[in-house]
Amino acid sequence: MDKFDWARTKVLIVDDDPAIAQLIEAVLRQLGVRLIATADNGQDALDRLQQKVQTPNIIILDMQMPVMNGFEFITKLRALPDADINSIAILACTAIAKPEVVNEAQRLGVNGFIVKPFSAKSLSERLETVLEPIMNPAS
Amino acid sequence: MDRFDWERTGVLIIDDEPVIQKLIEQVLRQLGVNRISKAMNGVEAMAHLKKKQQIPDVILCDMQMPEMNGLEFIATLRGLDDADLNDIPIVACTTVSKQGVVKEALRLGVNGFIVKPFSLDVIQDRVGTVLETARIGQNGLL
Repeated sequence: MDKFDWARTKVLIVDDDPAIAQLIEAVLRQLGVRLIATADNGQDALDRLQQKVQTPNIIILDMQMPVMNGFEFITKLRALPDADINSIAILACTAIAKPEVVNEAQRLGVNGFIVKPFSAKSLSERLETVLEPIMNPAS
Repeated sequence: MDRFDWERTGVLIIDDEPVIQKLIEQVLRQLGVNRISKAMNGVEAMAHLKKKQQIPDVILCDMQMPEMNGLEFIATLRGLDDADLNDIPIVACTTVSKQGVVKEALRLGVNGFIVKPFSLDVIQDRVGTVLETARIGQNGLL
């Protein structure tokens, strides 16, 4: 009963912890997602996005990372002049469920939030909430 | 098996179509929501929010409206200095034919979409997912 084709959905996972990135990737693969890319930090992700090799439909973003954290990444991404990149959906992922983290991310233009540890079901629900209109382009 | 108390949930519906407003309201009432307020466009919604009589937990916002459309409303709300208002979760109601609108709404920080025409369970799913997230912002719990 999926509302769109997960196999066509492109996801970028940005997380400095390889174990978490692998866990998210495993959940995505169960849903049928095949086009998965990963980056270690915000700078790595921005460099990758600007190459436009495989522009993702959604970015799953860890908020606590070295080099460039989630907040800096969201600010920089949303401020880019390139409309293909600055409007990519962002699902923020954090182990710190503090109101100031959530509210600041919200203000910067994040589209969803998920707290670690999370279930496969809650990840897929949050992805669907923002992906449905993007993955159903008008015929 | 709901993950939070619908009865404590406040919802603001912004839609210029009275029929759609009514339909969404009926679905919400079935879920147990009774704190529902309504506005016909972005201007009316902003005026209502700034009174702060009943700050909603979530805003359901149509994208195509006269006066102030959905994108203008999201940009205005997110641009406010008032931290009580500028981070209220927003679910945008739109059609898939409006890809430009969808992208701009994402850039502005919308929290989810209800794609028209929608089924009743979609409202429950979308609003439920967004509210579950919003609780983290309110009390640090999921």
